[in-house]
Amino acid sequence: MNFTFGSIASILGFVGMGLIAIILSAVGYFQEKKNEKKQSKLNTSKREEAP
Amino acid sequence: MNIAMNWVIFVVYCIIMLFIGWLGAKKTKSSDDFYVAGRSFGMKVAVPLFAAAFVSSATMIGYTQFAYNNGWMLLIYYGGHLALGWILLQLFIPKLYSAKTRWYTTSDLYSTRFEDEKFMRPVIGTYNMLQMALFVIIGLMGVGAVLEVFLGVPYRLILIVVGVVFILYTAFGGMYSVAWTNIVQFIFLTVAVVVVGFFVLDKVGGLGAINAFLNTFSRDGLEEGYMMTFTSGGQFPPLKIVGYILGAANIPCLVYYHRVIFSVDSKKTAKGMLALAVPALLLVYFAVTIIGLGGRILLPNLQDSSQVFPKTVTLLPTVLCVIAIAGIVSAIQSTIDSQLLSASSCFINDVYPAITRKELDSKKLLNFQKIITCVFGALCLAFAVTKPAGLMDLYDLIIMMGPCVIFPSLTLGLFWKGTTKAAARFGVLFGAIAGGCWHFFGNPNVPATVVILPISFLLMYIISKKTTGVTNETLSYFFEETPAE
Repeated sequence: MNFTFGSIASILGFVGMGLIAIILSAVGYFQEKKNEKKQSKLNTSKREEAP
Repeated sequence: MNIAMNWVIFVVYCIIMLFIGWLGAKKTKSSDDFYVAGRSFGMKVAVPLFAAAFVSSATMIGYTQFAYNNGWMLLIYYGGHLALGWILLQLFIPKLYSAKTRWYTTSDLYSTRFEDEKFMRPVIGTYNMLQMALFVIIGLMGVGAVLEVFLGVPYRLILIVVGVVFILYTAFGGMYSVAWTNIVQFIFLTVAVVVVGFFVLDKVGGLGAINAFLNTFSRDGLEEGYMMTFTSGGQFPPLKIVGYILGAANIPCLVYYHRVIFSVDSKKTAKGMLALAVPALLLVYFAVTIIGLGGRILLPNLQDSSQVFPKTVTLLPTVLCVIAIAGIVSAIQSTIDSQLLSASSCFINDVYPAITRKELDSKKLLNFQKIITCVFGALCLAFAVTKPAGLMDLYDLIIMMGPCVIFPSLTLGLFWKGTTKAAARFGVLFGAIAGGCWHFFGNPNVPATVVILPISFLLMYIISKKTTGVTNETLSYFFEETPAE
């Protein structure tokens, strides 16, 4: 493919940083999904406990 | 290139945008709808809204030009800048989104965090309003220049037609129209760059052929193969590259990205949208690089290298050509509609109340929003048509000032409880004055961000330590562990 060090470094730098953004976002999404489930279970049990 | 077919796609495109604008106008019943679509956007809308707002004329015209002139290092120079911007934005998002508040603009956030309606609201609002208006003017100029080539009509005439379409759907449909048109525009622009990218690869014989050519290419006294180097043959020293990448500090400060976050339905959507938007953006920017690099082989003697994307499009078969045109126009409009809406929102929400000290009732407010958006759009269009001197210099100044003015106060305010109102005011003023001075008198090879940001952070820290902070109730909006009083 005739790539040089400079061109590969540019590509990998861009893609690598993009991947970091994707991973941070995906982790944040699933963390928040987990929090929502926890909150929902908490609300359900509070409603069940209430007279 | 078949100009008649180009006209057909252009007319169809305008009709689609106006139809979506009409749907958005029907859905917009309140000022909350107009500003932030009732904070109703899930991932299906938020992802294309953000991604399309991110891709602008700079991508389609500017970045292809850069790749044509400087090679693969586009991906680390501009690409690295954008990617760092995504990372920073993702780190800011959990703080920018708040279910407890009803923010419409960045000034709302600043006024809340620093308990400062008097200074922060009008100052940040004015800065953002001017910045967004400038971006709209530059974007309109880009779309006019492109369509002049493809439709064969004078720049001013076609610009007025395009301008009226985009002003109408933005002004009457507000955030709903902006978001829904962005979904369509995102599909157009992604398909367009991928199609053109594959066409270029096919025409030149693949990536290997591009690299083989570039490994022996030289011009203007630059070394052979300069386009395959990290610094483009030494034209971009490492400090300049690092400085430009660090300029990504501007991206989490931009009001139209904040407004996307304010418009989503949940923290989950806010945190997750980049996970889907960034892969598409990586593809777009890679395709744009290929188009620029391949342009060196397909169009070796371009007088004006900014024409590499439009001229490449003219080489396409008719059907692909019209798809590409729709894509270019989509890329530009999908950004400027968000920016126009942000400019008028900053005026109505932040600047107007400071001037008149009046509050409009909700019914009058919605009509006022529509009228002001039309007025702003018309003013931006007038400037784009007349192209006054000094516009690009002003644009360069505002781009440079963005991170200096907003980034330190926004970062410290969102991530450090100890940041005080006095320190934030100082940070904004210092960023504006010092940034402006560096722009005019500083070393042009040293980016302002490298010098101004560290000083600003340090001085804001010192001032915060010596002045009084905000209440716990205010801090509880930004720091979940802080109990409200």
